[in-house]
Amino acid sequence: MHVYKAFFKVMTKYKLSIIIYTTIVIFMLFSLINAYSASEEEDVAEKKYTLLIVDNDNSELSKELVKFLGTKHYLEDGSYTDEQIKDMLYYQYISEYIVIPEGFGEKYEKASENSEASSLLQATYDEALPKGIFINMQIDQYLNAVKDYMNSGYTLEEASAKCTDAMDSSKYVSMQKKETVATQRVYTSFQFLPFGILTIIFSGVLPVIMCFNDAERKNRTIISSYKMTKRNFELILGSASLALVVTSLLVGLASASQNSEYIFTTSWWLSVTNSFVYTLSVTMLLSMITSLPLGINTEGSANTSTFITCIIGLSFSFLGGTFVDITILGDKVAKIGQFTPNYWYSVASRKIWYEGGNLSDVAESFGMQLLFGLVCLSIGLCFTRFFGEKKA
Amino acid sequence: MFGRICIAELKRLVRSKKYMFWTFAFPIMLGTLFYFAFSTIYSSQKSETIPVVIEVTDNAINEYKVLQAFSNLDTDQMSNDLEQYYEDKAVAEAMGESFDKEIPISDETMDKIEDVQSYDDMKKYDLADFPYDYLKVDRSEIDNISKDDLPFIKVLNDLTYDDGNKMVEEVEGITHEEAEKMLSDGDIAGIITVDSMQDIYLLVNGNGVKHSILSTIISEYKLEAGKAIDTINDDHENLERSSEIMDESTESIEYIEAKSTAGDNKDPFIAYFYNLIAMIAIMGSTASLNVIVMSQANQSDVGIRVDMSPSIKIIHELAQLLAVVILQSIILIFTLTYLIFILGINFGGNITFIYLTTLLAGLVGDTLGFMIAHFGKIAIDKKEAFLMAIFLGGGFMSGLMYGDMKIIVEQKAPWFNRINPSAVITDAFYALNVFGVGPRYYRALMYILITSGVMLLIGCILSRRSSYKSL
Repeated sequence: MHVYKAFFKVMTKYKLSIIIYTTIVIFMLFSLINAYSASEEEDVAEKKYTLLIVDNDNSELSKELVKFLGTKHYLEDGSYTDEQIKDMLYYQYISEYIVIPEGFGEKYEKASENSEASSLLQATYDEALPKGIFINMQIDQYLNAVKDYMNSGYTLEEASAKCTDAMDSSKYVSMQKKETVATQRVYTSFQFLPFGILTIIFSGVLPVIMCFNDAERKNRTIISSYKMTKRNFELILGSASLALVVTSLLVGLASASQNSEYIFTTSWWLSVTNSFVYTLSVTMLLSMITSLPLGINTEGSANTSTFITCIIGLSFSFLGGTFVDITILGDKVAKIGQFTPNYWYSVASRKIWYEGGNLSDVAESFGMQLLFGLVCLSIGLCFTRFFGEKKA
Repeated sequence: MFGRICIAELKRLVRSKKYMFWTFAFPIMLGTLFYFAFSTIYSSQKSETIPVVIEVTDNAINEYKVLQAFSNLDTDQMSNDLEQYYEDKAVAEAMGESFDKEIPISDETMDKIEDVQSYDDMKKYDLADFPYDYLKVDRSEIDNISKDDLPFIKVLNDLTYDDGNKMVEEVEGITHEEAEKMLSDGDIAGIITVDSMQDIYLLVNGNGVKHSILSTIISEYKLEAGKAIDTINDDHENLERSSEIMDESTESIEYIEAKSTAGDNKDPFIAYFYNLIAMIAIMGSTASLNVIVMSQANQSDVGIRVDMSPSIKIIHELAQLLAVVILQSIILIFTLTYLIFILGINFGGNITFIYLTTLLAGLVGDTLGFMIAHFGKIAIDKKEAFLMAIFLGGGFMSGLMYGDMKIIVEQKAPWFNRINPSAVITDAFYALNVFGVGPRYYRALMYILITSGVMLLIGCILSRRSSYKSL
């Protein structure tokens, strides 16, 4: 096990790089988890969006309207400048900016036709997207219904309460497959792991393997009594050990940031298995990359290992639904993404946390990840045979 | 001297084939990847027709037939005929004549009609007993009522977006099992079951915006149908106007004046391309870092020779930096041209200013590498690791991995967006797109120049202090 021990000795030379990558990944993980924490507990079928409402009227009606919208959506607090509001709308941090002008309550009581009512509220949103239409439909529905109820003799509070009750979608909407409740946070934490696993392993292992493949060192190994097969096996074992530690650390942190109710459940075990299957396939991918003549970390190469880590890390993450959810990515992207292990990781993760999938449901995704790894390993072996037998 | 060093450095960089390959290949590969990943997301999110399967039960159709029948029942004629009948009968009986005229409506039929006092009574009414002879319309109009005549279906068919496209489209001619399969595969947004005028149910397989719109349409219709039924129940006379009341109930007032968001290109996913340019610019810092570190006496043999030469060190380093800036500018312009003119990415804003912003973005990356190169006497790999922390962490905070992150940081720690090189660059592109060439854009450019200037200054100050007792 000389090479195996040497692997870790060499790795200590790059410990700062590994520590920095690990710290950044952990920082990203917790930032993402916190960013998603506000969007839990959705209605059965009605999506909740974030709205910014400015109530310049402060009438009973405007207060009831704001209260009603608060039950249907998330309301953004605070006062913002026009520039900040434009920023929030552009980045879709808020879906709609609604201004309730002064005198809204009085005008509402008098308005009986579209022409009189159409400018009572001002809403700014991206008109090309349907979510603004959905929010406006809800507001119009509420205001129309409240008016009708009030005309029938109800007070504003009674009308508002009746309207809110009537618009409760749980009475008439049912879900085909029962979605697991409040899984967004735990799903996100596991969803981000592939990027962390891949970048940390690549940044930690690539320079070490390249060090062993350095011309002089490799030639010395070739002429020594140490078999190349044994050397390669121990290098892979070293990489796998690091990968195991990295994945265990990230899985532990991702789990620790969740409520204890999720840990040690079937879904959790499946997610942990998913992470380790992904780690295995990425380690096999690494063995292929190190066998390719990419000029990694050779003289005058301007740190190409960083480029490779970035290209593979980002491309796999974007195409495989790690950063942008696979349900948002288009069909074309999904077709390309199917050639990455991240895609199958994401598919399995979604099945586990959103569809309550069991082992048989995610077995295909696990299999595809392993298949990807095996193909990479085979290509890597071919390249090693082709390039590796030549004197370095 | 300055020019000679700069040209020599430029030649050295250009002659490094692997360096040139990676620095050109990296942006092209990532740009193409981003294009495939993000170019269609926004258009796929735009308002598009929602496919649904609508299942209407016989009960719903029958209920509407009864509603239409009662609405079109000529009760005046019926009363007149009955009155005439009983008058004729009374006269005949008084005259002692036989009276064999058939009663226009049987007592049983009349009783059943009179029993209908509310909407619920009407729902239970059996049309087999209905006096079709007193319909104001042809009987076939009642008999031929199909699901397309139901008010809810009409409402669905009439709904359009502002651009005139239909909001909901029915997928027809499939069984319930096939519909369930389509729903599960995501081919339709929902299955709507209409069991009566008010009993409408929705089966969905998610809670996206399409499902939400469907849910709201149904909720609104149920609310309005409920109000119409209440009106019918309030007054028995309204039974004759029930169809009219139903139609009136689906008319609603719109209270909102819509204003569109600002921006030449409203696609928020374009921010990923801003981040791509920022990332390429910041990654250029590795080149300036390498060049400067390699000319430091404690790092390489070339550095020792440079240090012993009569050239002024700061001039030498600035000349080297200029060479890197020139090369990085070429790479960035090449990448931007590829993105805009080959892939057709719309960055938003004036094209000249987009190029100007890109060139200045390169300056941020290069001066960042220049500054870090002068941080102490630590090894280059450690400096590179520090650079990676800035590049990856900064990229993440400016929205490279998660688009909303920049605005979240802007909300919670806006100062960080002013000092994060990636955020400073993406903000300039964003300002150009959303606000155009104006104060906000100039402010963003000012941040770029200040950031670059400060980093250059720190690098120059640190460079002056380096001296070696022995090498």
